[in-house]
Amino acid sequence: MKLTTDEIKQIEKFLDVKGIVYVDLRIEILDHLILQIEDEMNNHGVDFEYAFVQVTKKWNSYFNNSSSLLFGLTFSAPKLVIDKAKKIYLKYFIIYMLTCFFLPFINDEVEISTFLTCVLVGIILLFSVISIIKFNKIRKSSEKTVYSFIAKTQIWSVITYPLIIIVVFQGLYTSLWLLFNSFIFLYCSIVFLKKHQKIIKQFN
Amino acid sequence: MKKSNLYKGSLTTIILKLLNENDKMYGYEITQKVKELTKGELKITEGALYPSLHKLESEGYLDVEVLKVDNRMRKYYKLTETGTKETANKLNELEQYIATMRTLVNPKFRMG
Repeated sequence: MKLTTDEIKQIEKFLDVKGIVYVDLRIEILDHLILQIEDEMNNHGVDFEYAFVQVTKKWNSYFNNSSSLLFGLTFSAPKLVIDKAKKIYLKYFIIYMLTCFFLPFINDEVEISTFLTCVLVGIILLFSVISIIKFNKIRKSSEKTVYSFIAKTQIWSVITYPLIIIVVFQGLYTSLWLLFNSFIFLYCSIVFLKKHQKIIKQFN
Repeated sequence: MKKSNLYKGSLTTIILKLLNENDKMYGYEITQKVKELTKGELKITEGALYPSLHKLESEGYLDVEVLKVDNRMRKYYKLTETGTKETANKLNELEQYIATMRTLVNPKFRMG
């Protein structure tokens, strides 16, 4: 027995309420729920309402709101979304954290000319502006993917870059560190936008 | 997944092995195939399956294909070239692990 259009709509409404709005996850979970409910009805001879309750009960803990230090505790999403976002973003975050070990060089700073300082600040600002534009494009996209969630959280890190430059910009090592980090954000924003657009294209 | 502590570490190997044998599969199909092959002894929970699939996908071992089935989208997973190589490595690791466990559980049994 196949589910009716109205029954499928009820499942979709349930996913909306639970915050499973990211197409890359939503499509596969919706398909899984439909098949699981159909099997429950066919194998146990129960009606849709009963099967729906039984099946969604198994999923509830994975739909509960969760957050991660990786994205900031103020940003929450269903556990399945956070888990997928962590798997995508963790490697970039580890590279970022490793570069922080270069900060101790700050004590042996090498002074640089005003011209070089201006060039480096200019490049870092350019990288930051491009990253903000790309992250914002993912964030504002009408169709959301897990990359939209990551972009929503990381855009704030990029926005703070101009402030970091003013406070920390002291010499060659610090500027190279900032340059490298702004490059990581730039790289992430380009890769994430590309993957986000690929997913949207796949599902359309 | 039943007896989760024993099976947990083998989940990615199970997924890779199934995809190696079946070209492409979707999430629910994987859970049902495992249930069928193990006669219900092993049940993969939804909460364990999707994080594992997403991890394998982000590591580049799986590729995704979306097809329209029954008037809705279905997301299929299939092995990439590196995924096929990784399957052989993982199966080898698992076989060695099983052999080691056998010698521990049954000391009369010796590894070849």
